[in-house]
Amino acid sequence: MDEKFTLALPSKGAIAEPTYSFLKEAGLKISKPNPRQYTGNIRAIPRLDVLFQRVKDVLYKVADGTAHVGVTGLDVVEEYGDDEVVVIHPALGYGHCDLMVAVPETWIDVETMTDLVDVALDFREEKRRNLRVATTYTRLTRRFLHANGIHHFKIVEAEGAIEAAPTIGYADIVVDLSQTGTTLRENHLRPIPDGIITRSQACLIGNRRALQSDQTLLDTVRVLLEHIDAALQGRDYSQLTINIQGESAAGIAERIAANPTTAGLLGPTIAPIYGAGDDGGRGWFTATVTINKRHLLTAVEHLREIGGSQIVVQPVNYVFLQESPTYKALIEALAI
Amino acid sequence: MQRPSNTLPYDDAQSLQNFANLLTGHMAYYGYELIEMPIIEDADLFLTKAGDNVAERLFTFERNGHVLTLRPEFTAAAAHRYITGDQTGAARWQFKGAIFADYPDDKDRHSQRYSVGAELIGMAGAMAEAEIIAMAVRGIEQAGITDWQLVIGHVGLTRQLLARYGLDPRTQRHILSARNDLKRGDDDAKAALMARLDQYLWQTPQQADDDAITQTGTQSMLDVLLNTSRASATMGGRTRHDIARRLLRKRQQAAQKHQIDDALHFLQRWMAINAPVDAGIATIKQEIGDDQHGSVIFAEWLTMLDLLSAAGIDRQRIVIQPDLARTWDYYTGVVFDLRGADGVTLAGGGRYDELPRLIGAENDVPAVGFAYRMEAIIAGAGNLADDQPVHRLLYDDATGADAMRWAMALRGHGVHLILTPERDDSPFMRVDESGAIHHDGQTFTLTQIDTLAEILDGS
Repeated sequence: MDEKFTLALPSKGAIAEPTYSFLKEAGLKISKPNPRQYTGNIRAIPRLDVLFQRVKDVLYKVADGTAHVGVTGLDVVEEYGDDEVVVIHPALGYGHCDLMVAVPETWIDVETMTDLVDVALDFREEKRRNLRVATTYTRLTRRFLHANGIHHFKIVEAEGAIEAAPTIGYADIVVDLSQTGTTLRENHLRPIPDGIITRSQACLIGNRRALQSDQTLLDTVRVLLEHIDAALQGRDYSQLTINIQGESAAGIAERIAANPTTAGLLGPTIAPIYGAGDDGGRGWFTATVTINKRHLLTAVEHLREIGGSQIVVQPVNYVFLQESPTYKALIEALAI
Repeated sequence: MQRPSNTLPYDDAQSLQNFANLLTGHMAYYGYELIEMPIIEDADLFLTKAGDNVAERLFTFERNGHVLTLRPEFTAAAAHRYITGDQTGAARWQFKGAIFADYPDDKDRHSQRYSVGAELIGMAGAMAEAEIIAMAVRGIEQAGITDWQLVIGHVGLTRQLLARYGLDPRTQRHILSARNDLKRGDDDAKAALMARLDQYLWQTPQQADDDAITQTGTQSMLDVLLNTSRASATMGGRTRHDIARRLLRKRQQAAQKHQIDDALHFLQRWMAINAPVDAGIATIKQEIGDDQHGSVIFAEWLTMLDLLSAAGIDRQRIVIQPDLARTWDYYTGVVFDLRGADGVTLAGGGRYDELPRLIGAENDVPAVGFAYRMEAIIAGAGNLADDQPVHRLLYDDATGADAMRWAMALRGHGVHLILTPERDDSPFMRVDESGAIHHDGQTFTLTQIDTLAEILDGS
């Protein structure tokens, strides 16, 4: 039997469903034969078994080697991670949320972290106690507060309903994850603009020692990354097909490539059209070029200017570059 | 099992102990009693007025809702012992042992270090400071380090001169804690500090317009600022009164802008002073001008410098750097740093009269102390050989009981000795079948043990 590896994925929580969709879009559909079991597989990569865990446990399973790779939140890695865990891809492009410091909205005198430094000193000097901070992210919170000059505080560890802590009265401020700040606002809390501790999103992690010592695992991860990179790259690109008249393919290519937005990944592909028109399509070519989505309108403008018409834009599912850039970066990070 | 990295930096425990014993023995000559202190303490003891760098590095943990910590230093615990004990008059205490600092993000820093230090609590004045400094210097010399430099500063004088600019304590604290950044001397550091102060002092909260703020009644101001629904909402642990008071304070602080400019100019000149005694004194005198309180502090400082000369501390080795201080929350008067050839700190300390009150005393208690940095001393002095040789006494099946008898008797006579069955190249003694001991070609019976012990002790 071939060596098998384990990919841990979130079983529930905000990034669980988006993770399955993301992998599906990358051509890695997860199948879960028994909905009551915590395992599954990916047909595209038979070597990889899937293990469903809570986001925090994804990290722990990868850290202790039970799973070889996993998808979890960057915030979880920064809070609970250790040397055993290597971040293979830090930005899978979904599950965005920020870990931020928020104060009661009635604290109208507090607008910056510097204000909070001052208030923390007031607590010590006037109330003879430390500023109480409710959070589940104790490590990141400690580090951030110290780095911002707040040294006298007490972390009140809480699971769930952290936003309610200042109202209930067991904390003064909170450090919590928020996507839009809505939950914070509903609880009469206000984020401090320079109090963003970390900007998180879904990421891919791996067990460092396993990756360093097992070439078969590394090869399997490369396949996984090829899919992920190609899909993420694909999101940025569109494919344009245009009809354009000209003397020669080379001449048209030159006109198209004159603008950097339409230069394509390498250059346009040009083919003559053999049509049924009056002139039998003579002098007409069709050109195909892959462009960055951000420049779509600029690109279309340029193509019109040089005589292009019937511009068809299609989404790009995958862009495979010469090699997976993430895999290359991983090899460097592992120093092997 | 994975050991935490770098919990103890010393490869040679014997050498460390030898240095520690040498220094504690040295300080015993000054009448400093060796005190054993708890390794686990109440975290608040060190948090109360510890320097920010200490607070950040505390090894804290919780037991039954009580936050405890591994001691990061000895001073605060010593001050607490003084004010809670039945001590009257001056206490001269010395300490040795492990201290702890947590560096979770820096695996190259040692979280456990060994410290030797002393505190003189309950004695005011230049004499106490001179005694501590002279003792620190002589200890370094005893350890075999001859190339040292004594840097002396004065936190009290710095504070006094800064106070002339009429800044409130909080603003002063902001400026002083930014001192190290300022000291790097580049314009960026000053600009960054100004930006921070700017944010802190002069930015009027968006929701609070001038009219509202100039109303002096805090309650009425709050009513304007917080509509009824919001006022009844979440407040954390602050009352409306707290918030109003801070808004007013911010307003008052905003009036200090030009004074801060002046204060920063002074501080930059002050920080630039780093000179031999005579030149340093002249510059400081100029800065003090006609400030009376400053002149009193300065006169006492000069007395202290004279006392150091009387103690035989070479004036040429002293550098005056008035802004010297590790933390501004801790020290209140003379501070010093004893540095080795490469500028590394071998020992440091100073006066901290406010600390006892902050941890529970009714009034300030005069206190001055210092600690040696053992790793720097060992690095600078090399290994300190143990001058007590350990002798070897051979035994075998036939002579075991006699060898044991001899070994115990010799140890009772102050001889260091191990029993071993292994004969190798190192010199050894042996017991023969008659029970006599052979050493260096001579034979001794138990009645001649005094003679043998004397020979061994001298060898």
